[in-house]
Amino acid sequence: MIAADTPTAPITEPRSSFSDRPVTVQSTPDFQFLSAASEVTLIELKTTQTTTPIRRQPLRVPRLLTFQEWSRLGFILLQKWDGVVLEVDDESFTAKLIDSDERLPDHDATFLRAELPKEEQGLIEPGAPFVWTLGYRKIGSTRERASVLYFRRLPPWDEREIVAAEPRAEELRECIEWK
Amino acid sequence: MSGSELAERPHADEVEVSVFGPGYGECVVLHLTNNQWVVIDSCLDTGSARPTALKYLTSLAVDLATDVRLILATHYHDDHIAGIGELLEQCTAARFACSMALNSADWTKLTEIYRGYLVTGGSGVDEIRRVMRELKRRAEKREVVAPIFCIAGRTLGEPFLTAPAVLACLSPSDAAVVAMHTRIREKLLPRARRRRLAVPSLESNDGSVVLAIRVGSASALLGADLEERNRPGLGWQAVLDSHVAGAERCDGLKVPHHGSSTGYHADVWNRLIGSNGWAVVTPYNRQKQPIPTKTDCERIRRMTERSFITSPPGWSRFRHPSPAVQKTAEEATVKIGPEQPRYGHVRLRKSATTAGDWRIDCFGHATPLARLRIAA
Repeated sequence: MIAADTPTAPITEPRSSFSDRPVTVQSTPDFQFLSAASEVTLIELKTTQTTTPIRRQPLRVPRLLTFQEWSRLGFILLQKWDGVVLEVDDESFTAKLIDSDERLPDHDATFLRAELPKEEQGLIEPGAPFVWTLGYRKIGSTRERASVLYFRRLPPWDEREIVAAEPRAEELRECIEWK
Repeated sequence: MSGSELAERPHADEVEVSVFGPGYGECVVLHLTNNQWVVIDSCLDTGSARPTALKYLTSLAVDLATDVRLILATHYHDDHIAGIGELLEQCTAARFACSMALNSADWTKLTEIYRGYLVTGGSGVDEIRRVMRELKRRAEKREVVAPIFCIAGRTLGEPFLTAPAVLACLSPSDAAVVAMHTRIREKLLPRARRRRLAVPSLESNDGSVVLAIRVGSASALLGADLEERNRPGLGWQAVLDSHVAGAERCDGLKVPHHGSSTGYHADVWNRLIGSNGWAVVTPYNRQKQPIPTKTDCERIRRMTERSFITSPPGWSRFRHPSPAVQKTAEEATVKIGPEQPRYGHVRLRKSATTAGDWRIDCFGHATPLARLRIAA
């Protein structure tokens, strides 16, 4: 973890934004949490420090980064999973993990709830989608291993989507006699 | 164990119950004499990622286009219906059957709302959509497509099957169907301004289709994922309450809900299964505590020594090509592992015309429970 009173040094911002709606990551002693108004929260679950920690300046991060984009942001991405929560209990949650690069078979993993901040606890429910990235975070001339999990803030269901599905469903039901 | 070969076809008068369970998923293939085949649920083959039933039936040289009569989805969870769409596409003469719990306008609406949805995993809605697509294709060719909706008391015989083969539905009960319709409407169907989630699996399996197979002197009870709910009209108690006292017991049991404690009801064994009956359980590994647990296995063994499991329960070891990812992922999780299916197949065969016993074969990772070693 990065100590609160460690010296600061800026991280180079990406040359261009990768999203129309970039979000802001604020460095904290517990690593990266987003501001309350942002759509995505980054949470560091665990990290192994390999050098003198450096405090960072706020960093603009787009959503759903690609491998190359992560790299340009000072993060060497080694593995990215798209996750869906399957099972939740008081202490942990279990999820299905799908390799974003489609190189690996699907995996399952159980995470401790305590690894996520209070603000995130309400997002842990069956069906909740998240992204889990593993790689190296560049710090000056050194790097540290990092694991970052953030829940996706997708737009809520729109009434129009739901209403539009009704005639299609009725037509299908009639066609295949699903009744 | 009879030691017969995997690709050996059953005799015309033989009944076969083949249970596949690679650790995530379950499929039961039935031969109900005279070259009539039925597939209950579907899971994927370890290597090809195609439906296990397709691979097996092809290896037996079964004519998929004519000899598979019925494909039945006991419930919508994706561990029971993975690949069932492809199966239906290949088995062109097969009728599709599912639980009456899915016969609701809300269910078809749900499948339409989630059409092309970007978040996958956790449910079988995508697979059901593929089934519906195939039914629609058949409808356009003016074929009979109406699904056969299963509910307690319904019997599937003629015209779907030729006598003496009969599949009797013991569940879902009327109360379970109503309860499931309510849950689909209230818990699965998206509402405006609510959070967008992948379709979650409902926790209870009240809508599961439990089947009793009877063909001549052979019989078996397929427990699907039905659990005991300790509520009137639901779960196994509803099955037992509606079961006619003194009715013929079955020769064996496909153990419900992967052998879990919630799927257990002592009277199912005492009243519905004959003495010295056989039992086959499939594991479910995609949860924090895979089932059956050691305690579950011991309980099943106390009910019958002729008990088998299709593959050992438990997570496979995590191995990543990057040592850094390997180490970091292990540190960041309580546990992590690939959904590594382990091929396992328990096959039971018996003549429908004589009183002999069942011949039981284990293939792949399948084994008698007595030989299974699970850490507590």
